[in-house]
Formats: sequence, structure tokens, C-alpha cells
Amino acid sequence: MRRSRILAYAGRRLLQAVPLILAVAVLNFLLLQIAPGDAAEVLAGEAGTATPEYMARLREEFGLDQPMHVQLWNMLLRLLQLDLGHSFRHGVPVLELILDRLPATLLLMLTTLGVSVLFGVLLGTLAARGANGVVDAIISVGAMIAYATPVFWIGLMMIVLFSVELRWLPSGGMTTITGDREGLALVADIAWHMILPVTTMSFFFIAIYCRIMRASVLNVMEEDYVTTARAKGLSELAILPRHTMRNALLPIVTLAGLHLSTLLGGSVLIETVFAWPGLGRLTFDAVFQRDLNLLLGILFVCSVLVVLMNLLVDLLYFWIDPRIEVD
Amino acid sequence: MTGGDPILDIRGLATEFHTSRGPVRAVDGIDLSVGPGETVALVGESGCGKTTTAFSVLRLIPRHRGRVVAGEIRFDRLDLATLDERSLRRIRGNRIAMIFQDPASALNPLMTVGAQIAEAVRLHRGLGRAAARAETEALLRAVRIPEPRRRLDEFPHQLSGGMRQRVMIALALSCRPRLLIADEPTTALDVTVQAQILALIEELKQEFGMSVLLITHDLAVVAEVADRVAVMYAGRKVEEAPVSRLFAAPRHPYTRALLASIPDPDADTGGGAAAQPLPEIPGRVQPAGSRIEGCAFAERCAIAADICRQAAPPEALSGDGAAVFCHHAAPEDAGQIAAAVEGRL
Ligand SMILES: Nc1ncnc2c1ncn2[C@@H]1O[C@H](COP(=O)(O)OP(=O)(O)OP(=O)(O)O)[C@@H](O)[C@H]1O
Ligand SMILES: [Mg+2]
Repeated sequence: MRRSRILAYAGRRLLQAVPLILAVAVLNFLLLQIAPGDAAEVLAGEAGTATPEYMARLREEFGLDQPMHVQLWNMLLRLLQLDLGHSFRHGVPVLELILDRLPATLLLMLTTLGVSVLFGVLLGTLAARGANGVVDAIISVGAMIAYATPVFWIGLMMIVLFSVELRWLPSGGMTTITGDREGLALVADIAWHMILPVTTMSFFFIAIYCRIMRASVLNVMEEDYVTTARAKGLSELAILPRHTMRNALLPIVTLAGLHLSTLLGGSVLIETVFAWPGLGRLTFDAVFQRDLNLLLGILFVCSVLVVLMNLLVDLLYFWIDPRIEVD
Repeated sequence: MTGGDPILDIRGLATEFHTSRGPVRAVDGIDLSVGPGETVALVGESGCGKTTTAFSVLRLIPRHRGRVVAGEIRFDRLDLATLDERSLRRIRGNRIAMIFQDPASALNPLMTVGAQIAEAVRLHRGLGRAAARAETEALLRAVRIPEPRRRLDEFPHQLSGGMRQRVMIALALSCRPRLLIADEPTTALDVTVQAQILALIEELKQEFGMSVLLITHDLAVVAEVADRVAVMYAGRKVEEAPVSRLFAAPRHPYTRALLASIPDPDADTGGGAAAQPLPEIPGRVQPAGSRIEGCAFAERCAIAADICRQAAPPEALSGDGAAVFCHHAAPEDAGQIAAAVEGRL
């Protein structure tokens, strides 16, 4: 009964998301009109000779010569058919470019989130268990420093230290260029390349989850049901995961859900710093090349992703907290 | 009194909480015993240390909050006050079980009630998953929960307050404890449900052959189910007596004041005295932690004399296991106390 209500809820949420996503697309389009320059100028500039005829031809080809409202209308019609158009720059369908890059970004994001939640929860619990002791003090100060340090700075320092000086880890990219790896060797190679970017991004999030988890565990430890568990004869170690941490995790889930979109936005920076071949890098390039179609396509895909991810987090919430009413 | 060696024998128990203003003594030298098959009621105003006494027995007060600082808690030739954690855990939930005031917060909201009971069953009785589930269902049936099989998989928020307290009772009984400590088990419930829960505890007590330490605000409840009553005031026991004796001839001025202000049950048509909280008595309880030289009740006592403020009252014992701590507890003072209490109220 609850399950079918949850499914109906998910369907309703998806339907409601359609107008929202279209509205966001319109907004994106209008915002990008404000930005100076267009793809024709960039292309012509690179070609060296920019005769007015050549530029006009490019603009006609891209549809940039048409009035703004016509361009907007055309875009909306295309979006409704899930057609994201062609990239001005690469001449291939935008969707193809995005789908090519999306897995790398999702891999990086979700790994970062997983690592952050794991370490944040463990450290936060550890700090709460020894509240006001030495361990707590060390963890709390560490979290404060990690929270306050800019991500790009951590990234650059990591590269300088582990890649340039110590030569332990690759400074960028997703795979080693030389040699064709397959199967497990490829997985290991990618994991190897992920260590630096994931660590860099995780610092900040671990710090947040650690603080929240510490406070949350301290709260839950005062709850009557923890006393009940103790009165049952359970040991502190048995109570911790089943009663304390489980309840304490609820705010972490909420926060991690919000951070999915934060991470998606942050991928532009991190992928640029670490030369990670994902959506963030593609976005960065699209901006510089004034590749309007590609940029609108990326933003569209991102808004769809955010909607889907939020929905998933809500569903997760229904699953872990039976008290939440579905409607 | 059912007789026999007591199951639980508390001697000189003192418990302190750590606070920013130093240690606060919430329980200050209490003697209390519970015999086999006996129901002992512990009564007293809010904040007098009833819950702290109960928590001390199972040492449920987290170490960073407070601890038992003195006394013995004899249970089954063991001293729970000094027993190591491991051995203590084998007693908690197994030989001594506890139910709490508010069943809404005493159950884990994220776990099914079945899982929460099965947890104790598996821990102490070493049953497998399936056997524990069958046993849990039987326990839910024993506490008269309708459709026990379906309820197993429900979460606490899906049950009513009375049903939740039944679940707590099932949990407490899961390992057939010898002693049940019930800390105000009906306070958070509707009046009609209160009577049902009390009747259930009484019934299961017979069926399972256990003793009960019942903590309550409610003197009507005491009159109904208790064999013996201990009255607490500001962390100390002021009087103890068999229930009929206490109601017929209370000796401590505090007990008298309590009894004098119970509304007459015959004059009440509604829920009866059961619906009434403990009556107001003029004055305030000494804040826990302020050291008291003499009698703790002296400041509010109608007949307090100089000696009451200077020296702690001695224990005056009488035959049938009754005891009172009062400088004026001699029989010849009885008339004077009664008159003074009447005058004040
Ligand atoms: N965690 C704590 N820290 C400090 N003081 C506490 C703590 N818990 C209880 N106390 C104090 O100990 C005293 C006894 O409290 P206790 O909860 O045992 O009273 P009670 O008789 O159970 O009251 P009630 O009828 O309200 O449940 C109170 O004065 C209370 O303020
Ligand atoms: Mg209490």
C-alpha cells in the first residue's frame, strides 16, 4: 500500500518537474543572451581572417541571425522532443557529447559523496563518543581547518605534493595515456586517477558531515529509546550502529541530497584543475567557445539530473524513515 | 508481603549527577527492598529522585551524566552498584526489566516493534531469527495486542499510546525477568487506557511470577496494586509501610499532606482519583544538591521544630516492616501532626 503510494508520488513529482525544467531552460537561454560575443566570433577569430560574409554565413548556419524570440521558441520545441541540437563547435549532436562525458562526472561525484559520507559519519560518531575529549578535539579542529580551506588551493597543493614532488599519483586525467588497459586493470587505473580529485573535494564535505554527525549522535544518545536499548542489555557497541547511528543519519541524508547538486556545480572547477574528462570540463570549454547549443544542452541535462537526484533522495528518505507520510 | 528473602535489597543508595555547579545528589541514602512476588510502590513529587533510584538499580545513568556514589544494590547475591559492565548486561532486560513513562519516545522510531523485541529475545535467549519472531508474536499475544502477527512488522508510530506501552511490556517480559521496574508506566496514557495497562501488569505479574517496583505519582494506583509503599522526598525515603497501613495511619507529615489532599474518590464521577496528579503541598522542594543538615521536609513542614532543621531524623521502625524518618513520629505526636496538617491545607 505504502509502496504503491510511493510510486504514484514519484510519478507525480516527475510530471511536475516538466514545466519547471522548461522554465529553467528559458531562464538559461535569456541569461546567455546577456553574455557578450557568440560562437561565430570565436570561430572566425581562430580562423584569423574574419570577413563579414564568413561571419554572417556562420550565424545563419547556427540560427543566430534570427530574432531572439524565434530562437527561444525553436529551442523549446526541440527540448520537448528531447533534441538538444548540434554543437556549434564540434558539429555533432549535443546529446552525444554530453552522454560521452556524463559517466565520468557521475563517477567522480558519487565517489566523492560516498567517501565523504563514510568518513564524515565515522569521524563524527567517533568525536561524539569521546565528546570533549582529546579525540573529539583533534577531529573537531581538523574538521574546522578542512572546512575553511578553499578547494582549489587544496587541489593545487595536492598536485604539487603528491604528483610533482613525490611522484606518487597522476596529476590529472582519467586514464594513463600509454597502454591500452582492459577489465580490472582499467578499473584500477581509473581508481588511481581518482584519488587526488576525490580527496581534494572530500575534505570540505567530510568536515561538514563530521560536524553534523557529531551533533546528531550527541542528540540521539539522549533519546529514551537508547536508554531502552541499554536496559535491554545491549552493549554500547551494539547500540551504536543499530539505534544511535541509524537515527543520527537522517540529517546527513538530507544534506547529502542537497550536496548532489553542489557537487555537480563544483565539477567545473575540479575537472578543470585535474583535467578530468567530464561534463564540467565540457562546460568550461563550451563557455569559452560561446557554444550556445552545447551550453544550453548541458544546463538542461543538469537540471534534469538535479530533479532526478532530489527525487531519489526523497525516495531514500521514505525507505529509511517509516514515519514520513507519503503524499 | 509475600515473605522470603528480598529479590532486590537496596542499602544506603546515593546517586549523584555531574553538573556545571558541581555534583548534585539526587538520591541520598535510600533503603528499599522488594520481596518475591511483591509489588512495591515508590511515590513522591516530581524531582524527588524516583527515576534516578530506578536508573541506579540497572546503572542506566550514562557515565558522563552521573553515577552511584554509595550504597549497595543486592540482587541475587550480586551487588549491582559495583558489578562490572559485562555481568550487568546479562542482568539488564533479562533478570531485571524496565518500562518507561513515555512509550512514544522509548521505542526506536526506525525499527519495527517486532525487531525491537526480537533483539532482546535473541540476545538473552540465544534464539535464531525465526524462533525469535515466533516468540515475539507470542509475547505480543500475551500482552493482548490484537493481530500480533501483523503488528510485528509495524513501526511504533503506527500504534496508539496504549499499544506502544503494551509493546514495552512485551519487551520487558521477553526474558521472563524476576523483577520489573515500571517508571510511571501510565502517566503518558489516557485515563481509560491507564487502568487496562495496570490490570495487565498485575495479571502478568501473577502469570510470570515476578516482583514489581512501581514508580508513580498516583496514589490511587498505589492503593490498587501495591503491597508496600515507600514515600520519597528530596532524594530521601521519609516513610515506608504496607499499603493498608500507610493509607490508614500515615505517620510522616509529608505522607499525611499527600493523603489529605487526594480528592475523595466517591465524590468523583469521572476517571476517579486516577486522573489526579499528585496534589500540591505548600512550599517548594529543596533544590537537589543543596546540602540539608536536618530533615529535608522541615522548610515545608507544619510542625517543624528547631531539632528538625539541625539533625537528620532517625529511622523509627515499627513491627510490620514499617519505618518513618521524622522527629515527631512517636505515637503521642500523631494527633498534633494531624491537626497541624489539617490546619495548613
Ligand atoms: N541528567 C541530570 N543532570 C542533572 N540533574 C538531574 C539529571 N536528571 C535528574 N536530575 C535531578 O535529579 C533529581 C531527581 O530527578 P528524577 O528524574 O529522579 O525525579 P523523579 O522523582 O523521577 O521526578 P518525576 O516525577 O518528574 O519523573 C531532580 O532534582 C533532577 O533535577
Ligand atoms: Mg521520573
